[in-house]
Amino acid sequence: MKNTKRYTIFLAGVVIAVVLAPSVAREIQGAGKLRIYFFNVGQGDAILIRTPHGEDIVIDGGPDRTALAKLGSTLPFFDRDIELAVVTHPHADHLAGLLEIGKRYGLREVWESGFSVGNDLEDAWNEQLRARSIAARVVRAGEVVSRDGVRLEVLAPFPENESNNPNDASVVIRLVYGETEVLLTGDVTAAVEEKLLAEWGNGLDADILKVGHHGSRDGSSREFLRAVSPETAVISVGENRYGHPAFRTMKHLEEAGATVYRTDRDGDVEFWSDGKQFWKR
Amino acid sequence: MLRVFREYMNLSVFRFEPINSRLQRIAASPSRRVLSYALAAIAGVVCAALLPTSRAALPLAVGGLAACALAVRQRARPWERVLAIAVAFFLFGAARFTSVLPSAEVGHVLALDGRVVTLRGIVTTLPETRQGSVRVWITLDAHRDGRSLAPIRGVIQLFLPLSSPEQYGDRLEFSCRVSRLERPSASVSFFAREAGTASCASPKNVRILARGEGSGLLSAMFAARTEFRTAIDRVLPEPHASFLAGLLLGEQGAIPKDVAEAARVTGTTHMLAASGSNTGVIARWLFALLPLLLIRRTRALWVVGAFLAGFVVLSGASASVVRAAVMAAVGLLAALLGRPSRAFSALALAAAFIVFANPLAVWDVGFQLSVAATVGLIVIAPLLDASPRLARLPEALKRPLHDTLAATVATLPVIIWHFGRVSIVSPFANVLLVPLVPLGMGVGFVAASIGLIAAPLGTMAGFGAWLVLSGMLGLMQIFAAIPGASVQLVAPHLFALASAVALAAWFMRRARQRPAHAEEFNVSGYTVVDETVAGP
Repeated sequence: MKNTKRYTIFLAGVVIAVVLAPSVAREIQGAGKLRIYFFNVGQGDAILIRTPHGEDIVIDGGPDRTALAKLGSTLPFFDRDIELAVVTHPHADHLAGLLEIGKRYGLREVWESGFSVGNDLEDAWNEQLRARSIAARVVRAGEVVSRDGVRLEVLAPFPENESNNPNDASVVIRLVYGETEVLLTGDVTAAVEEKLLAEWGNGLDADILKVGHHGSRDGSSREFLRAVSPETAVISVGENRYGHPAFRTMKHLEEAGATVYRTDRDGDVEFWSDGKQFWKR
Repeated sequence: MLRVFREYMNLSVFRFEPINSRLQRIAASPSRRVLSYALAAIAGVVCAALLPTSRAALPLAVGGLAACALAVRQRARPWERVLAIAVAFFLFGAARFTSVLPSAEVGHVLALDGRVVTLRGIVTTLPETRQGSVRVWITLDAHRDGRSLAPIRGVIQLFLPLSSPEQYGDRLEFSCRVSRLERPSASVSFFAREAGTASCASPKNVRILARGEGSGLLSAMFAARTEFRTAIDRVLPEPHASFLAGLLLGEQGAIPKDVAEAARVTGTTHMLAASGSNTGVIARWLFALLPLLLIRRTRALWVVGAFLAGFVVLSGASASVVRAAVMAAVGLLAALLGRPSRAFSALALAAAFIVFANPLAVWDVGFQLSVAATVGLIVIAPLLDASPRLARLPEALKRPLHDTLAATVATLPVIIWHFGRVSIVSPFANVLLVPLVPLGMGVGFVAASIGLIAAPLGTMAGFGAWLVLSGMLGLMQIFAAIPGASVQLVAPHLFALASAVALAAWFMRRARQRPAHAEEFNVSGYTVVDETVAGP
């Protein structure tokens, strides 16, 4: 019995050391770098950005609790705060997981598009914010915020958005760290892409593009991709009945010369930046 | 007729001991009689579960008549009486099974199978959070037919969106398409009056009509469980919190898909199934630790009993945890009784009690794994202990290795049957992971308990639990990542049966090599149970 206990404790020690060593090493290596995670959450978006000094920005939370486990496995044990949470638009495949994240993590600041679809999910989300006394900030194109050396440029939604499609009200963010940029497009369609082109032109340029609307055929036009000229494109997609990602979108991305990663095939996709270049981990 | 039967049974051409002399031995021993009746009742439930009612009717009727004939016969011999009572238990088991199954008659929800209807009923379970939804079971009482309400019976499962406000005891109205469940569910409650037989995947217009219509006792238990679960969530991040809830409370729905898949590939799903062994492990630890606090053994038994009762309350008396607690209590009692043969009787009695309470438990994977693992620990582990080839191993490794191997081997047919694959890495993964289960459960339980009282302290304590659980999760994923870790089988049911037969044959051979094996195990019953740290 005594020996068995010793065996258990010895085993626990060895297992903890062997299993945890790589993640501790990773955390030490990653300090001082910008880290971006496109989580594989099935059909939906969930993106985590960790700034060089460990501030956490979450953009959408996916359709279920999957992102919660992804966050728990990525963030250090004692880090239970999300400095900024962005709801690109209130569809379930973007908001449902964020609601779960909000139950377990402290949300310091919340950005929203201001577009309401008026469903139970949105009500539950607003109730959660109210209970925690968090005032969500409605952001508009043109706002720029700097956090820990990382610049967040809000490129959409436009104040005069007249579309009834919640996807078109998505918050679009261009993240700039040193000489590296990432464009996060929510679920915007070609109509908004045109506006983005007209408004920002070359200001859309980015190294990494989060492809809009899970690679749907109603977005990622040739002109738009030409302006963004991404080296890498990430499609956050899972099993779905909409035919995402569309053949047309894949073709446009190929023409644009982007290396494409799909969360359904590649799993979680992680990039690091030192301010000069991005590399995939 | 009876004489012919008796002579036939006595023929010496039988290689085995004649059945009637076996029965005579059973009739002579009270404990064997009880064991036989328990097994007969379980067999009755299993037969009724496997056969459609119509096909089961004939053998049941014949059996009933034979039992009556034997029982009313004057000068019946003791073994004949035993046989008659066993048949009666068998029939009783079969009848109990059919009693929980509803028929699709008018006035039952199954009569509405495939139709879109508006239903009313009361939430009778604690809402169970799953990966993308919340599951509740509703006991129906009304069906909206046009403007009027018609009475209706039945238990239906409802999948609601995450963060739905519905709670136990709420009276709901909802519209949905009723669909019949392929297999009635055993998870509605420990004591089943009626099985859950219908499902509703995406209910519309869900309205809460009234609250607090459930039982006060259950409400209090569910409140306790919710508090405890919230404390786990407070002290641990995901997936560790769900993993711990799986280990402690048998909650499987919230476990992330990749963790559940890794557990399947490595053959360690049993750890998360609230099988009796997990609970038994904690009970045994407690029983071993209490003497250190100068508590006498008999009192310690009561303390452990109280602990198990508290554990049941904490789990919200979920069917799987009550089953696990019963198995754990019996395991502990069996340990004190001494011999493995008695441990086996205790196991059979516990299983019969559980199956009587809810006959659908025979279909519950967690319960099947519990039983198989306990049988493995009682009958296979001592054989491994006696094996000269394994005797050379260091003493510290022997106990966890033997118990784990015994449980792994015994649960193999069940795992193949349900999951359709064999995990090649399973023995290795189990030998490393299973000994960590009590440690993970213990530190997790302490951390969550502290978290109930003071959140910041709980988080500090949670770090210890997080380390151990991270180790376990990491290990599981390392094993799962090995190419060819598990093999998908073409005809899983055939393989399951073949492996069960092979296992039984192997055991019979070994047992025959060691006559009167039950009394001759060189490990006493106490040791068998006291030192087991293995899961199924």
